[in-house]
Amino acid sequence: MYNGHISSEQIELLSEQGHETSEQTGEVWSHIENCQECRALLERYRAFDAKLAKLSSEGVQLKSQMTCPDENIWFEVAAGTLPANESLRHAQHAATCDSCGKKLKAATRLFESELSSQEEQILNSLPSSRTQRQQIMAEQLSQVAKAASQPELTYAEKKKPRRPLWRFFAFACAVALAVLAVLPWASAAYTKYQILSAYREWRPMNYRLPNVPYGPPPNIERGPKGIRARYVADSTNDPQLSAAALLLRLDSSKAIAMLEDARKSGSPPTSLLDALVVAYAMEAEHANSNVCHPNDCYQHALELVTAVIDHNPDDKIAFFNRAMVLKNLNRDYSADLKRYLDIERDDAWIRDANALLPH
Amino acid sequence: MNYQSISIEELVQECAQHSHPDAWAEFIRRFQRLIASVVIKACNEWGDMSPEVIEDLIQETYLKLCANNCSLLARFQPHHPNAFLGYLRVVTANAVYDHFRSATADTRDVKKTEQLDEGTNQAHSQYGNVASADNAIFFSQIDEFLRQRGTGPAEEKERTIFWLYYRQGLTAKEIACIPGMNLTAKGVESTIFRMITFVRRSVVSGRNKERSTGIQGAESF
Repeated sequence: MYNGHISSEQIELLSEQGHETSEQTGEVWSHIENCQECRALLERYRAFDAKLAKLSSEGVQLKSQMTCPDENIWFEVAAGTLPANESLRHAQHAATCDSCGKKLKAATRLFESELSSQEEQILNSLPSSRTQRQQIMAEQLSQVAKAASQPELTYAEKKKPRRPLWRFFAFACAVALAVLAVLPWASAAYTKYQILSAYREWRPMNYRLPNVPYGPPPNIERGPKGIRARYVADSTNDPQLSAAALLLRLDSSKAIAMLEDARKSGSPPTSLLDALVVAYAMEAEHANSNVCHPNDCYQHALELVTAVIDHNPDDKIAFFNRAMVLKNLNRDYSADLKRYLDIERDDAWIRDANALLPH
Repeated sequence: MNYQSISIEELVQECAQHSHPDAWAEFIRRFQRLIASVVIKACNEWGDMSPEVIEDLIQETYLKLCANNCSLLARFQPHHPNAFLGYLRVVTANAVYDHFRSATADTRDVKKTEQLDEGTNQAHSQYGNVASADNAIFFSQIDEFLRQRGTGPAEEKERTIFWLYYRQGLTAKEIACIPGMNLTAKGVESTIFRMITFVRRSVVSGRNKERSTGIQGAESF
């Protein structure tokens, strides 16, 4: 007690505790009930606490100010990559700017090392969490990094005495010519590698393209896999490869145009017709196609694939694709799929086809 | 070479300079969890927890690290122990945010959205005028008391801690993680306790007038 009243410390404690009564606080509460001054002070403490909580939840001014730093800076502040004084300066700004304060808070939550049980479950289910997949990723990253790197000269090589200038120019010209000769080939090979890798990870259609390795089929809930496709160039000299890249982005109309051009330019190989069948069948799935009506697209794909099978009765890809087209048209496709299973030798494709067989 | 026994900085340089598959395998072994954690939390922030998107963004982060002759790894300069972990967190977060920002920009009319934002802000400011003005006055009142304690580096830091906690809702642990604070979570908690006690007494009872001059008249908060 202080001057016959309750001390500020006690009032503060009561304001935080609420109306919990214990042996120690019983006497104090009884004083408060009888003392108007102490009751008023307690109410003011409570009003202050409520007001502070409201300030935190509502904020003062959410709009960004002219002095706000770039929003990416908050990742650096939260991750501790900035010098301490710079980091503190930004934290001081965030402390009184609600717009930046929210960004700093989001960034700090992002970098917390603890995961919720749901997040932990997702992490464990990711393919990249498996050792085998990590090994494949390591190989791929090594190849991607090496493809872009140039061998650096060692210190000893840099220090070698200079040779006559004409020798240097002759050597440089020879190297340039060699690079020019190899560059288109290397570039084409790299593009092909990217396209095939993308298909190996995931194929965007239920059909099968010729000269493309096995990749898991699309899940119905899954949209186009845009990220990897974004890195894949579609301008190669090989129309089938370009079409494969376009189909990876689900751009079947452009793929049809490219393959039809190639078809008209001479006697097309069977593989080109197989690819065209896939492109028409995929186009049929576009409700707003400007190439053909969905039913016409399926019909066209069916006629084309039947012509391919008539010409080559052992074309397993054609049998697989015709089965899928018939399935989409709700027609009997089991005969084509069984014929396909008779010819196919690849376990992964056999597994997929078996799963598609009608029960 | 035994990559498992080398330091993080050496491993980063090995990946940047020689890109041996074993070096990358060790890199992935050490940092996969960190990268995946940031990607998962950032995807959660953007409301897309699809495992396919998460997996794609993890690969996107690795591709970014490899891009331009591993320039992100090559130009990394460690300023303190564990600096690379922070650096990797920033690279990953930027990769995820860039992806979602670009995806959002692709699917909306930016001009219309800006107008909508302006409209929302205007409506918000009209309806919330009284409340936000009230909050602004309350904030200035407390801030004034905090500034009266002094404007030196220590007082400024404590004022920052107070507002990060009470206005922005950061936890003591999160505040302690900010470089420059140089405090543990306990230290931050202790600072907050001292500050709130000071502010409460200053605002509610009036500084140095506590109880000695009787109770102050009711102030309108």
